[in-house]
Amino acid sequence: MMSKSALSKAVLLIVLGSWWVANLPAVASADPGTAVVLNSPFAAADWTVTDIQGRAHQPWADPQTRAVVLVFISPDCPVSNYYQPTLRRLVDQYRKAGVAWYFVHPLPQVTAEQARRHAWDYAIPVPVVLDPQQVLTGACGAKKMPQAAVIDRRGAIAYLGRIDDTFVGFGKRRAQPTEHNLRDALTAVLAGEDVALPRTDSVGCLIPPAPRESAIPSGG
Amino acid sequence: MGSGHRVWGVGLLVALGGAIAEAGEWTYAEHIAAIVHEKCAACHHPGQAGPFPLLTYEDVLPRAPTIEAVVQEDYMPPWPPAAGHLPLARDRRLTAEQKSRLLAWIADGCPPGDLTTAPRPPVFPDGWTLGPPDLVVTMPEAFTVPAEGHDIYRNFVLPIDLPEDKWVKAIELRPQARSVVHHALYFVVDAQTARERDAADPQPGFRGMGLPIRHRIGGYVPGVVPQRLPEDLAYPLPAHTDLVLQTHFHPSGKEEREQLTVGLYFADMPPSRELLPIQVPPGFGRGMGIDIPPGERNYVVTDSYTLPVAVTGYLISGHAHYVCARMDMRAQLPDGSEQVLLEIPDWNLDWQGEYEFAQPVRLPAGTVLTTTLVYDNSAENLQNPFSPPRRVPWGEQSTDEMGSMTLLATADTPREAEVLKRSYRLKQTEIVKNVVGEGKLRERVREEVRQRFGALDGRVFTQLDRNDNGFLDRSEVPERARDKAFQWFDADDDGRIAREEFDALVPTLAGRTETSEENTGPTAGLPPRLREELAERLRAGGDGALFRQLDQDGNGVLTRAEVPERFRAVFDRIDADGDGRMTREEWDAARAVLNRKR
Repeated sequence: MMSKSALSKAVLLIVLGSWWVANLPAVASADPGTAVVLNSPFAAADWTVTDIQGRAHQPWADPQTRAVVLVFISPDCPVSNYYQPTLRRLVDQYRKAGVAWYFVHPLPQVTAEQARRHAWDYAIPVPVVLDPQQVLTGACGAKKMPQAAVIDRRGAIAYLGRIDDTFVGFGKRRAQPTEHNLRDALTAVLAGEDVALPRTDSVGCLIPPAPRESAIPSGG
Repeated sequence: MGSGHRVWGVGLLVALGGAIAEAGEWTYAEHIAAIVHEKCAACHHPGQAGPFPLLTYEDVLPRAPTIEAVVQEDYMPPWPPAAGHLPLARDRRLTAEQKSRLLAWIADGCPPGDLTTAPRPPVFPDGWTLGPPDLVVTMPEAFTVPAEGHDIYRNFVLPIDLPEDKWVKAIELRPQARSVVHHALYFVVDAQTARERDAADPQPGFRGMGLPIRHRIGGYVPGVVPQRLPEDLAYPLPAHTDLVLQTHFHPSGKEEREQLTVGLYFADMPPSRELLPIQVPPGFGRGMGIDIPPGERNYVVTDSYTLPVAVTGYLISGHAHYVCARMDMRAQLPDGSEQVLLEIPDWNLDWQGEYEFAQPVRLPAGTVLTTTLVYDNSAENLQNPFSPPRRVPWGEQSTDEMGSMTLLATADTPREAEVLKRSYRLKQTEIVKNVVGEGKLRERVREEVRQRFGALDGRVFTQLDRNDNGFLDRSEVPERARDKAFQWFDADDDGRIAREEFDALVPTLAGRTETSEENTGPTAGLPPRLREELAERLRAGGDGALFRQLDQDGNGVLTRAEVPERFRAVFDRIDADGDGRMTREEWDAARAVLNRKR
């Protein structure tokens, strides 16, 4: 008979294991031109993202779109704000090459007005999206702000992680980054190649789990 | 294995979600609010350096996972001094108990408890940490900090110009764009001088200091919470002066307009003692030959200063840039014991602070203060501004290096304060001696000094010092020589050349090396000209005739008042026991030393 503790461990492993499997991209076909990732919320041709202005965007409706980048940000996390100039440069560089960008607020208490003011203050050049139920956040498995997810046309998350390696810990910052992970991931995806480092760890503020609707504090 | 079961059990409940964990012991209302208010709120309230407020449950809840991570790593609350040395006031570190409660509360899902019973958050009227200031002054115009580019150093005049003398207990700086203001140092300058200088530059403020500074009264660096000076200590703010804020900006990637505001808190009475900065090495290490080769991991700079009088230390701070790795200041007491005054084991330019001792520190005369600075100019130092590493010399840009630690202390009497100031000024002249004393530069400077000043001895100073106050003001130095003279001789950068500063440099410039006797005995460190004159007089009056002549009341003891003004510096040195009276024995001891030299 299984001991109580072994049983607990087994159940835990099953729970964690099924979560892991659910988060692995399952590609239906090897041909990236037509295949889509099964069960990916990003795979549908009419996948729609609604920004804080109320405008609906369907990135895949444009045949020129080769990748979508979701950047998870916070209005008051200093690491997230530190990266805004870097992100502006990356947006400039890759938008022309068919990359659609959306900056996503996973914190439920961020209001549209706060997000608008933040976008204005930091001259954010792309649509900004509120994700209070953490639908996009959860689907990407984003855990920190800032973190970038690169989604290819099949709906697969080709990259999830840091923008670069400037930060090596809280308050520990290199003068210059030595790895430009998001840039390298985009270069690979646009060239139809595998991303060398598809998942990287990042330094930043942690995304709290989505609270139940009634528990969302106001303001903040 | 009971606790193992519990851990797995809790993990399971969390993993399954929805299930309610056993009610935790700690709630926000009852336990956590007090910790947050005591240890976080001083910086984390609107208008302060903290990037978001931490005052209420609603502020804390969405940030709980981040708080957990930064508290676990001891990144927050920020407190760079090493533990185990002298206790410091307002230590922001969480106690072991506070830390474990906070982490357990977060692990437990942040139960609020009955929020109506939670302690009320501290109130900061209009955001001022110390309450409403006695005087609020704002820069008349905003200065634009560009989005990108090099660091900017600029000085701004905050117009004050009060009709009467005041004493300042505390200053709180309120930048508009805190993200770009790296630090600011506050200087007291005559209002007219400051405003003329400001007007000469069409932009708000001006570059480069180069104007007579009365004194410095503290400054703002990230992580410093404004605080009142302890006891009755206060900085003088004389009538008809302004504050000049020497400000260091880091462009943040976003153009900012900065219009600095300061709040001043005044004392009701003048302080009983003057707070004196003892910076070791002086001048932020200028003249220490700091020049760090690329790849060097353990470049050590040390400097010492011996206290000529007993002092009481109140505050201590350090300053360096990115290549510095660690620093400490130690006090070696005359009884041979050693006390670490402050150790910063992991130096980070972003978290400089000024620390107040929980109990003022007594340091007897003869205590040796030693600062040790260690620099890491390798690629392993993640903060190294250059990749690959480059040679980093001493300099004022943040990609250069400098370094020193400063003890703010008082002497017991005004006279001992004068002795300390004079002795420290001599220490400062070492900077210039070192800078000028090197090889080719010395030859060039010596030649230029000959051309500009003619003969190199104390007579030049006496001639120039028209008002005979022992200081050369800028107006007293011929214009053609003015800039160079102040660059070389004004070691403490106060806009005046003190007699000691001048005399200390003369032997170096004249190519003479100092004799070792000059560095020992009761007349150690006295200006050469005074030593000469004293020796002359002591020889002339060798049988005690001079002593008797000065001893007007004939009681066999010279008081300070009986000694001519220009010999009082000598008197203070010869008066070995510092009681303000010079006995015949002390006189003879000094004479013996001076005669031995001949």
